[in-house]
Amino acid sequence: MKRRFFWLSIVVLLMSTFVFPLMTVQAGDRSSDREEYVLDSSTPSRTFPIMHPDDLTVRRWQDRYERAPRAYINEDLRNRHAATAVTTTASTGSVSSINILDRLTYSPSESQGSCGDCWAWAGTRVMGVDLNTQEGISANLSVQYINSCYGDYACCGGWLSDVVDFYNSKKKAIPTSNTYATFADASYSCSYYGSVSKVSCSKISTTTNYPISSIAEATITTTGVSQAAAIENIKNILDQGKAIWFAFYLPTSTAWNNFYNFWNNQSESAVWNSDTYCGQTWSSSGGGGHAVTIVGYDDSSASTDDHYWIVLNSWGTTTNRPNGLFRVKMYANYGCTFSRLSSYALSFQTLNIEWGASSADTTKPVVTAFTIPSSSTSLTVAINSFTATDSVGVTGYMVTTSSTAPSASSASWLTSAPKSYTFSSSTTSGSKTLYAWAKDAAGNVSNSKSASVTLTISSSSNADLIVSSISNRNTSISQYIRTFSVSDTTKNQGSASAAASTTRYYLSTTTSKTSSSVLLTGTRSVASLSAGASSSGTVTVRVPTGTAKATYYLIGCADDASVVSESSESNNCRASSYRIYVLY
Amino acid sequence: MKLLSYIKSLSEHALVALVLAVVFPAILSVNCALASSSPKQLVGGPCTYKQYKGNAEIVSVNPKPGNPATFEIKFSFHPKKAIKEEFARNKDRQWNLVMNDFSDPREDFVKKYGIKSGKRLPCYMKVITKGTCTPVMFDFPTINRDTAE
Repeated sequence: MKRRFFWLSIVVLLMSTFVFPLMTVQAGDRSSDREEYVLDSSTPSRTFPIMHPDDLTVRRWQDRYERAPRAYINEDLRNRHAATAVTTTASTGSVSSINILDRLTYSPSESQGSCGDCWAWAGTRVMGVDLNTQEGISANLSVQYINSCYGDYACCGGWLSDVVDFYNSKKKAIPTSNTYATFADASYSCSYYGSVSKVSCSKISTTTNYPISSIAEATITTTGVSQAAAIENIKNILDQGKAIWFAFYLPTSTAWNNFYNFWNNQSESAVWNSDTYCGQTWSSSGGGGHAVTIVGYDDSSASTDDHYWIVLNSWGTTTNRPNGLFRVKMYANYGCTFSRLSSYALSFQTLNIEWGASSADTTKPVVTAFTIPSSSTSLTVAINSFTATDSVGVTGYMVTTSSTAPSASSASWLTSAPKSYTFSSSTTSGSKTLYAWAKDAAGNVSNSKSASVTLTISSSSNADLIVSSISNRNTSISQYIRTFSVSDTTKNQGSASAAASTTRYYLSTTTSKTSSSVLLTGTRSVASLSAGASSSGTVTVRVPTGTAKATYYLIGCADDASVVSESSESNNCRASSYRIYVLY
Repeated sequence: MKLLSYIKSLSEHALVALVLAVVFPAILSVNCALASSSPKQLVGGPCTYKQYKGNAEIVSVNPKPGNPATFEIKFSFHPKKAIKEEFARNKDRQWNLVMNDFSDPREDFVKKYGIKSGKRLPCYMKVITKGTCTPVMFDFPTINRDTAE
């Protein structure tokens, strides 16, 4: 009886642990699909069951928001506002009602559609205003540029920091008048797999562009200060001719339906009160955030109740909203929060942009040390020291047998100094000279520093290790499931025996191992293999934290540490035919 | 009391199993509940829609002020069945028909599809059900709104 109870308990334990939770998750997923679907038929039909980014992403956004430098407050403007005012208060001479929308070139009917890239629209418009304020250039900047060329999926949500990261990598903005730069993703939506943009990045012309030397976000202080100070800070940024990236959260689907109602059925003169839902409980299914652009304010009324921010949306126009604008009550609760949401309901940021190409770096790096042993019996020679300096920073290291400087765009550059160099299998015994090079981000290649080694090649260099087979299953990697099994066979197809080696595994977006391939935790030790011998085994590997969301090939590489001298060092890796989907 | 005496009568193995069977899943459940209720937020992100089949009735076709080569086309939407969402329900509401690149239609487009007041075009109204994207959009399955046809 007791024995039966024991086994019964074990069964219940296993069911409780593995089966019931799975049933719950599946039911939850299906319920979200029951009545709703993604409309666009040109992309694979799919519903994104997780309406929100993962905790890590949220924490990254919040961290960037809180760590961003505070927006510059111009003390001179506190009582004397800019010349773009449309009305002034006669009695004081101080300025009311700033509207910098006229500094933005945009088409009111432009709409993000079903693509959740409001963050990119709002950020791009802050840039458009800044381009006009600083450079006097009127250009409708392309949002499609971000949609097509940003590594992450633009339609799946983002933050102003994503706009900053994108433009810090591209170093230029482009107008919508460029070929394929007009927004084309209005019918696209967030998806797990494949391209979610109608336009590939390579199709977009960047011939006309506005160079960016630097771009950074700045947070406007609106919390931890009085309401008056918060308002004054926001006004001050607008008075400087800067637009504001404004993100707001609503806690429930009811709140969002009310906002849609406000947007669709009221006129541009109606004022929306963001305070209505403060203190309510955040719904993980119905709550959500939206980013828009504040382009002005009106505080000309005697009553502060009538003061408002002028806000540009990215939902196109309605017959009631010919300019795509809405108004937000100015005297609001800037410390508004929702229970179960750890951030404030309202966020205000702007951008500090230095337009124009950065001054060119023409200084070459200098290789300060490069030493190798004077002799070696192996084709692989250890590098005892390899250091270099640069006025900005060394970004690449390379060792060659040629005294001719390598191209800065060569694929052979390494991001860190190599610890060894392996001569080609056809190398014969004798004195050999190696040349060490360094390069910087601007593409300057150093002069070389050379060192010589005398090679005495033994027959063991005729070993040749390969991964003759590798297999796994199509595997999805989530935040919670990061490991999977790999089976491989490592073979010595050379004519001499190979010493013990280690097979390692990578994720790569191509079928080859490249410098950007991701090394997985988990290796397989391969014992010494005689000529023609093989070693098979299975190992559990782990995908490291921070691996970018993408679809990868699994790559197995024999003797990945290059401890065995081989007749060929270029055939050690093999790609699996199955894919690894990193989803977070 | 009966339960207590029964538990006392169990062997050590059975007791361990009982604890594992009850306590371990309970801890798991609490962890899962905490994880699912942890605060998450979104700026933009995935959106889902439902769509209503119906007709778009052209209400007016007028040259665009300032750019007479283009037209401002307004239409009203007549759904086949009642629209559930209040924010999309106003039956007197008029909407603008624009091209896929958000430009106003040109004369060749108006001529090609015989766009004039009173004309009815098959149309789908897309109404947002989740997310923070554009709340109402329209699809016209019988006309091509790409600018470069």
